[in-house]
Amino acid sequence: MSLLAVRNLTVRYGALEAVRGVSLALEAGEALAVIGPNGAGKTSLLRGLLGLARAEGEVRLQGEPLSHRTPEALLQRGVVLVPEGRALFPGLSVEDNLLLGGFTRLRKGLREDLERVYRLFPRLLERRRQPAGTLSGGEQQMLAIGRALMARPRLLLLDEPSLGLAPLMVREIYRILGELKGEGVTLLLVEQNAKVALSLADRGLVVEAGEAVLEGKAEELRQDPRVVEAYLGLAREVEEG
Amino acid sequence: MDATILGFLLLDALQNGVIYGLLAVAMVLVFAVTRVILVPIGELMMFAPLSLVWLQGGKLPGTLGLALALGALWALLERGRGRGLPLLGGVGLLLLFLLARGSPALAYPAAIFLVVYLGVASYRVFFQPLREATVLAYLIMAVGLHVAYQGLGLVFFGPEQYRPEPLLSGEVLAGLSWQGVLVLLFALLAVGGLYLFFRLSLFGKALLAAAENRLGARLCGIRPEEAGMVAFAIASLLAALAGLLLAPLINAAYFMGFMLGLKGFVAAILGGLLSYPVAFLGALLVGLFESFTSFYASAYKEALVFLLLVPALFFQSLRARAVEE
Repeated sequence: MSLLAVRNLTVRYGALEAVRGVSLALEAGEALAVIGPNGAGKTSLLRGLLGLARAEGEVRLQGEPLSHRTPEALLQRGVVLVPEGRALFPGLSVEDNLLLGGFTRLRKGLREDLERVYRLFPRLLERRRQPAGTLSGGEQQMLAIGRALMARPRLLLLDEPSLGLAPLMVREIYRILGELKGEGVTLLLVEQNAKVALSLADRGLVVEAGEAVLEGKAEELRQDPRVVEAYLGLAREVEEG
Repeated sequence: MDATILGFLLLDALQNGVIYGLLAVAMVLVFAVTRVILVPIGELMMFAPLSLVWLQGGKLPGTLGLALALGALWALLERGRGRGLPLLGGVGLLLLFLLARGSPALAYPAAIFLVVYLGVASYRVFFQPLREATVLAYLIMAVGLHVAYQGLGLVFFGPEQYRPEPLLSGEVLAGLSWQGVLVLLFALLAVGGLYLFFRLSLFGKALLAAAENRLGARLCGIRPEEAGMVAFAIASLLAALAGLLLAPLINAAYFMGFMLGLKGFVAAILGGLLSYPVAFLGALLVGLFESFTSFYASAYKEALVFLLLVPALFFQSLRARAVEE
């Protein structure tokens, strides 16, 4: 049984169909990369999944249908989103941001989890007393992932974790995502940066204009001429260094 | 002016100032978490001592009916298990009032509970359905509530002023009653307690988080609606306690809340509706200003206090960054 199974998900904003009948399945421990150009509906797909946007279609978590989805309810079931823009609490300290990530668990094991996050991101330990708003973009992304980890996710949804970051920082973030995958955390990754996403993921799903157009193993997608031309082109190689 | 008069004026300033300070802190708290400017806080404040007087006289106040009616609406708005809180609270409130009728001691917790329940129910019924609305929409609702509650206050309690028995009688020295000392102590305790709550407890930080980023808070499992209810509960509690402690000194009446609330609002504005310590200091300044202007030019006392808003707003406008709504 899949950990997450989505069938025919459609997300509408008024008359606009941002996502049209996308289906996907995710096994436990697997990493799936959803790639596609800007405005293809990747973020809307995540929003619909979490109940942040009105969506039709069926979402099952370990076979159990989830009809009235809210981020709060999904958090209780171990599904946590690291949103685009990160949604941190800029006026609170790094450590408070992390502790609030474990808010629903109250005191149980919060300290151990905090140490685990600090082991993964030593940079956050150095800056734990600093307000989150004073961190650099890469550090904020680390904090957003760290905060999500404090909720002990089974399934981590990441929306454009590499967006706006320097190549070195992208590598660092993906190294840590790889470590999490090694620990058995299931990842659903939404990325414009197809190259780096497909290097981590087991499988990939290409979304264009709200529809799933291509699906397959990550290494096959990396060789697929359509993907190479559209997403892994020469221009990108130069840009990514 | 001699030293005695100066002493009187300073004591007066301090006593009024800390009350404005409590109201200002409550307003800053509610604004930070919900973006609501809690104009009706003065009415909530007056409902406490007036309900107390009614209960101590053996009568059930009209505010009980209002609170229960809003509680019923609150329960209707909730689904499933969410109904437990308003229903249990309403039943508890009714029982407490029936028990407290004619009992001077029990009337205190009853009046406090009433105001807190009314405050939270007002948020749930009037503000929460407007979620994601603009600050202006919230303000219009808040002013409407203030007018409605003030009118209802007149219906429930009539136009007379009432002076409940002070908790502590007698004077420490001329011009400073023990009740006044109690007010000062309570204000210090309340502000210190709030400071510790936000600095040390994860729950307090969750309230701040809900104010800073709604989406981020939801992703951490902090429901902004619940944070709003807690903020309203704390603000109502502060208002109720301040009202009960202050009423023996200033005589409670349905119309008293407005001026008190407005001066708290001036203080909150001095703090930019953002900073608790600046709001509290601003309140002391308002108290000081009021007490001295009432000595020198008593006819203009209120006008001069509100004149303080002009430089405060001017200063805020200079340093304000554009805020996205």
